[in-house]
Amino acid sequence: MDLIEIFQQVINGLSRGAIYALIAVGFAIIVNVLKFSNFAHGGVLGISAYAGYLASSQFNLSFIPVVLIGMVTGAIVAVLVEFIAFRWIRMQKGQLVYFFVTSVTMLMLLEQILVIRFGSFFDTYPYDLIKVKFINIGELSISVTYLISLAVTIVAFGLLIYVFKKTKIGIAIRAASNDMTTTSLMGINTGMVIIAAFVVSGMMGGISGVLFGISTSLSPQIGQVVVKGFIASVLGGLGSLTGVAVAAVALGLIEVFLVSTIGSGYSPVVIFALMIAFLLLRPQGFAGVSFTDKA
Amino acid sequence: MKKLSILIIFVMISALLLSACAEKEPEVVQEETETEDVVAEKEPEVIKIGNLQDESGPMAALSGAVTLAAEMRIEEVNAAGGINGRMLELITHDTRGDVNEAINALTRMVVQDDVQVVLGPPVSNIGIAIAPISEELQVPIVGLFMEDRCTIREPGTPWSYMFLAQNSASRQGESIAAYAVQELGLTKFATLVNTANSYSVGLAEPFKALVRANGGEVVAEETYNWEDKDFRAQLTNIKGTDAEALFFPGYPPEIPLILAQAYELGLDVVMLGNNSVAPTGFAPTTDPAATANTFYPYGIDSSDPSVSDWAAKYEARWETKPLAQSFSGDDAIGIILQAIEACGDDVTSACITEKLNTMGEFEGLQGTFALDPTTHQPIGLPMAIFTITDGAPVFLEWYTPDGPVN
Repeated sequence: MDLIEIFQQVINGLSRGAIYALIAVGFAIIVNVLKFSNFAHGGVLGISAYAGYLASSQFNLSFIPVVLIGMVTGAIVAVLVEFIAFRWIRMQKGQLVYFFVTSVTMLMLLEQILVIRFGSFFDTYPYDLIKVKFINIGELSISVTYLISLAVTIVAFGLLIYVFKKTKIGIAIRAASNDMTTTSLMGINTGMVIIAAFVVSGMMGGISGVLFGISTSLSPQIGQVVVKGFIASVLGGLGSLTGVAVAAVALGLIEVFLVSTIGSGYSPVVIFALMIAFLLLRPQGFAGVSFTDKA
Repeated sequence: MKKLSILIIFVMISALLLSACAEKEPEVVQEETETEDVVAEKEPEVIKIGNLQDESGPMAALSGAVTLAAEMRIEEVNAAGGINGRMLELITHDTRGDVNEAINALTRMVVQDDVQVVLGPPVSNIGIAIAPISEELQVPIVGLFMEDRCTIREPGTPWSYMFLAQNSASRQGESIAAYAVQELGLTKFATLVNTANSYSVGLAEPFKALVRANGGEVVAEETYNWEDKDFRAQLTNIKGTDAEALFFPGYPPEIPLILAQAYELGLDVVMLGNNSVAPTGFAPTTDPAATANTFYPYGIDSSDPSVSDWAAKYEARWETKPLAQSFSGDDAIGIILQAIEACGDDVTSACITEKLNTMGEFEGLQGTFALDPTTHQPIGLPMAIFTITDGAPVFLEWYTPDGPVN
């Protein structure tokens, strides 16, 4: 493998990792606030990806409106999921395992809705949604789709950091993720905080769904890529969205290098083995605190 | 807590119900044209033909094309009075693309529905799985499962009840390899294969063997799995070699992605595909620029008037364009009907199997061919080699592993 090839694989890995980061951060927001792994996030991602697909293929909208539609759809579906599936369990102070089981069920339900509407075959975004496909820098070829994904990821992540650090609702979400009861005693409406968390998470899921759909293809099972978000959130650790994002990018890079060296057959085996080994050595993840509360 | 449990059960039941709604009806029964007032005992018994297809799984589009072709053929035959005065009934069971589901469905249609012959799916993984089951059930299956293991038990001995109605994967792989070596003058190849798909592997191995036998070289062998959608790591590896061509046998969901990603990476090699390129390679959502310099083998020459007439009829009937599996599906059901007709009044699995084993020439959309009794595969069918120009398929010539057909 020469230097150019290594650079090309790094670009491939970063591009893949950028989308994983969007998925993982959206996933981790709910993990942080409600302390359970919300696999319904995959369903939100899937519905948003198809919403963007309809916007582009039926209404010929351009890239930015398509991403915005995906974002808004993600936010709406995420809040609906919260109302339909999680709110009641939360009010009943149900165990974490109920949230977990319900989130998996919601993922299946949202997938089946997509099967009913779009069938089980695959679809692709219009190829001319992004006019220029790649740019060459020397011998390197960079996919514009992934470059845009990377840029959108950076912008979305920047906005997320701003919201969490500088806005009242962001600070409230962080407070709630630290200790929901104390936050409530401080007079903060935790119900609204949770909805806000689902909105932000859904928006991230919407963007990642559209970008993942554009860079690959669409099928009702597209939401199962949320597993990458789960892995990254475990590796990144609770309490640090930056840790999760770094873990997601690292995951993308590791995957690409494993596929290019040992092949796609062994790659998932090594990834999961690395995950287990990592958790044995550093159970709190890259940058987080204990993960023992995670369902 | 009780209410909570009820809520969870409600959500799960909703998911299951929606899941059930998503599935197509397990049985699609071809309506007969006879009116109900015809007394049953006066009417000759209908001939039941099983149709084992992926109606709701990942290969639904291809399997669906087989079903539509079969339904159209049966409608025509029934409208003309049936076979030997008996109406035909197509009984479709959904495999959902799952091997276990396919085995259960096959057993159900034979044991419960009492079908005497089965139209099989265009999915090799399922073909391999049902081959030993067909021995147990002693029911002939004529299908489009192209991998050799679907029809050949061991060299020289076929599975007794498995019959292939189009060229095998090995013949397809060898034909495109021969074309690439002999007509395009290529010597260095890379392969990108789905190792979990027996069809993909079944195309790649004969391809590589023929390339090597002709003095060519396979300089890179990359692999992927079902769930993969990003092939850039493998394609970058291939770009780093001196390969002149990439052979990427696979199913429709992967093919446009491989073409598009190879194009985006600037992988400037000849792209060699399989017959699944056809429904996707020039699909409206694939960039025509990404399909330039692509060659693939196909079962029919779509510019042939008899084929294009049939295609027009199909499109008028179903309001959708035929896929490769539509044409070969029509041939598969045609072979079944020819065997049924030859059986006369003795329409049993045993008789149909015997007639398939001793079948003479069959004149179908793919050409005129017989089935080899040692392989249960078509004898002598050439492959139509196509390229894609400005997003549209262009027929080049008929080819076999031995060279061009004049």
